Amino acid sequence: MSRATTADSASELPKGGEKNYINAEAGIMSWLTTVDHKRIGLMYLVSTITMFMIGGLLALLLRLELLHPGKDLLTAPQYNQVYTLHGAIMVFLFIIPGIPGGLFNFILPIMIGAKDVAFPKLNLMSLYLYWIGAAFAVSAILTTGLDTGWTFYVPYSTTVSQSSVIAVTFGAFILGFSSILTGLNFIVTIHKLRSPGLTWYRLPLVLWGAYATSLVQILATPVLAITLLLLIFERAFHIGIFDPKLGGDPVLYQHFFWFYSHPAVYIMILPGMGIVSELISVHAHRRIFGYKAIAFSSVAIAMVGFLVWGHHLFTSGQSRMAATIFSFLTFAVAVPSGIKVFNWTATLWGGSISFRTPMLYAMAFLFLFTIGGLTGLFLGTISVDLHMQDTYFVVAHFHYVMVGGTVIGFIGGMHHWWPKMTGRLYNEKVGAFACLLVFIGFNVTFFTQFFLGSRGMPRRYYTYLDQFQPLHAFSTYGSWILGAGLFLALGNLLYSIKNGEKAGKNPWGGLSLEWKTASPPPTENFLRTPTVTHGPYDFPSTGSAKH
Amino acid sequence: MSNAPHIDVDSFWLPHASSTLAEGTDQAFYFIYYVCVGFFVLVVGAMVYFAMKYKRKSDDERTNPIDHNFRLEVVWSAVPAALLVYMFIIGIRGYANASVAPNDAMQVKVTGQMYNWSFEYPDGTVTQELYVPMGKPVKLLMSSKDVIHSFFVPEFRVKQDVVPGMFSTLWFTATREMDTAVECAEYCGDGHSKMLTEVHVFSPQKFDDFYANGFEDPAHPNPPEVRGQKKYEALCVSCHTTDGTRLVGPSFANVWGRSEKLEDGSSVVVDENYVRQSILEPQAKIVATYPHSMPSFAGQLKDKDIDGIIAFLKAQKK
Repeated sequence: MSRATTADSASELPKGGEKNYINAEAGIMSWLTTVDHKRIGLMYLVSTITMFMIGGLLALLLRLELLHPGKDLLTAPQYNQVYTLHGAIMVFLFIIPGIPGGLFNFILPIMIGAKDVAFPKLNLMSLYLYWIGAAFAVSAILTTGLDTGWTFYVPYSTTVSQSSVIAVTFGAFILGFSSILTGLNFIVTIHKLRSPGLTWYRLPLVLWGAYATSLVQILATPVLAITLLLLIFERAFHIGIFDPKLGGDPVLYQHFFWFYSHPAVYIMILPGMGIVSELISVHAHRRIFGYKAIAFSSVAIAMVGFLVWGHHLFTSGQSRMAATIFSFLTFAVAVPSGIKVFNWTATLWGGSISFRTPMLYAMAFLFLFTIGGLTGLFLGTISVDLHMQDTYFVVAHFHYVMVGGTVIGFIGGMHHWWPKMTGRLYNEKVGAFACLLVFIGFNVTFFTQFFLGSRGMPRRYYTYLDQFQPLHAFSTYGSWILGAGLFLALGNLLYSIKNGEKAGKNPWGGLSLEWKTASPPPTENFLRTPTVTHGPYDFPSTGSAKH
Repeated sequence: MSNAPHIDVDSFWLPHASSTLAEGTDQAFYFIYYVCVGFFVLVVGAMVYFAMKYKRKSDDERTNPIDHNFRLEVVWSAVPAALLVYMFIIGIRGYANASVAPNDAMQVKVTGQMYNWSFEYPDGTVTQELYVPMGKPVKLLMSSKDVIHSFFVPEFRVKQDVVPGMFSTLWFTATREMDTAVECAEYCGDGHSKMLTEVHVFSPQKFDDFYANGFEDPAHPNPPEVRGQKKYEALCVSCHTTDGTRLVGPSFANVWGRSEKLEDGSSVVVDENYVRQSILEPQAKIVATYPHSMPSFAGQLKDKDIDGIIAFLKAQKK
């Protein structure tokens, strides 16, 4: 996509021949050696969306296999590899790096009126680390595959599995550094490079989300790195850490793993929440309701999120006292999430709501994330979790949060900032129709899985009891609608690069800084450092905005 | 005792509640369910209402300036918080019940291994399906021989990981006579989704009769090939087919009397001795090109069970 964009914009310079970040330099080397956050962001987007498509095709394949019990297309070992790669690719190569590395990299410096992130070369290094980590994971696909699930639970992953556990965990290890460096870069950038007048409480909420995400990336990711190294030591050198045959403890691995991977859930969802705050306020032209509540609840979620990992282990054999404490803290993290949802809803009250594509995604997010969040309550309640754990109920719950929340937020954000990135407007009607397909397809696919799970269908099953067949088939039909919607949305965006109307600086009437520069922006973002004199959501109101 | 395990589902959301624990769990489930439905209708209802009422009419519309309301925010934080605390409490109450088995519970040792379950009763009887008396508490003491498995009976609302190197426990009191599925809920490899068995709940009287007879129907003792077939379905089917398809291990179609090539180049005829050795010491003679993944069943299968399997294999000649 990036190379095509270069070619197009070179031939179609805006009148007057304005320079922007895309046509500033030409040739592939100018991209590979760039330190411009916008170009790096764009390359991240191309890479992560490619991974999203691969992971999505694997998901369609899984759903197709599950159309009937027994073999449709894949053997059991193949199925296990496909579901593992689906999970690993989506988590490590799409959701975690996608929004921070892609979208935030592009918008964050512009939104604070900076020329670039604080450490531009480090930013490029993050991208290279991402590519190297991805190469390890992809090499596993092409060679022996991976069949442990993305969670790599021991002792299966260290003793039984014949697949390329070491290559993939080492890839995830490298990806972790990419994530840490991006987080570090964003924190310093937000602290040090804000324009004059851009106080903390004038920061657009998406940046509070980026900030909270970065904190988690820096503090949690090292634990994953250590855990994966220990796993590699055990598998390669038979040093007993987790395997009981070598004197280790398999439940310890689960503690280590979820100590990272639960906070990682917030690395995934906080950016989505940040984007939605932006979409709702800007497309309703209304002051956001509860700015501080939304901002601080992001930080609260990031912090309390470190203390709830044990809710993945209610049936694992952890101590009963630990399980009780983790259950309590899990409910504690539900409060700030609920506060956010109420504030977003209240922001629609008395607004001037335009139903452009980004707003449709924001409303889809509210609907789906509310279901995703509420169904978490069943799983936090220990007695109910004893029934639901490791069933399709859990699968449905986290897809509602990760896809219904993060991915829908990401796609909404892509539509919101697409005119800024490319200078073009996509077709609104096609965009809205694609959103509708995604929304319907998603619900058909995943709502069905709630009652598959509550009726007793375990996850990660290649085949299943005959009684579950109709529900599985229904879920599979939904995946086709969802897949069609996603492809249509992507096609609509790509089509606009050549054929879309020119967007202008500010197609949505937004007030934050990125809408004050050209679309696409020049390499230095702003010709002169802007001064900020108002909040990002101070839209013209019917009365006094005094508190 | 049908061959395909089944879960009775008689409501939209949940299977039949067939244990004393299930009743409490279902009450908790439905409390949370109605709270969720309430909040969902509130949020999505407000969103749809606002969307219709405040649709943009012109681009220069002015909008509502109110950006916080302390009282409202306290209410929408405190009310959910109170409900959440209540959910936490009913959750740990149920968890406490599920954690502590009554002292008079009958103890059954459960062993999970790739990819089957076995159950050892106080008198040493080992079965591949679980038999329990209705109305009496049963405590399972569980461990795994290889990787992590998870013992899950949907109709009882119980689940507990079965971990190598440690014992975990689980208990229940079944409340009706029936057969229901036991599933493995923790991913354990290629045969994970076939790591299925059944719980049979008998009246106490019938349970005692069956227990005294090694859980074979005392009125109709099984002929050897039927006993062998049951063992096959419980223990062998996840790796060995009878239709010629290759899974983890060789298929049993026409296996009897066949000459098999071994890894070291020698060959062996599949007869009584080879079958017996393959069950008790599977690593001794592995057929070439197959992985070394078969576990030993020594101590788990009685002589008459092995005789049954031999009879069953003989019957696979077509």
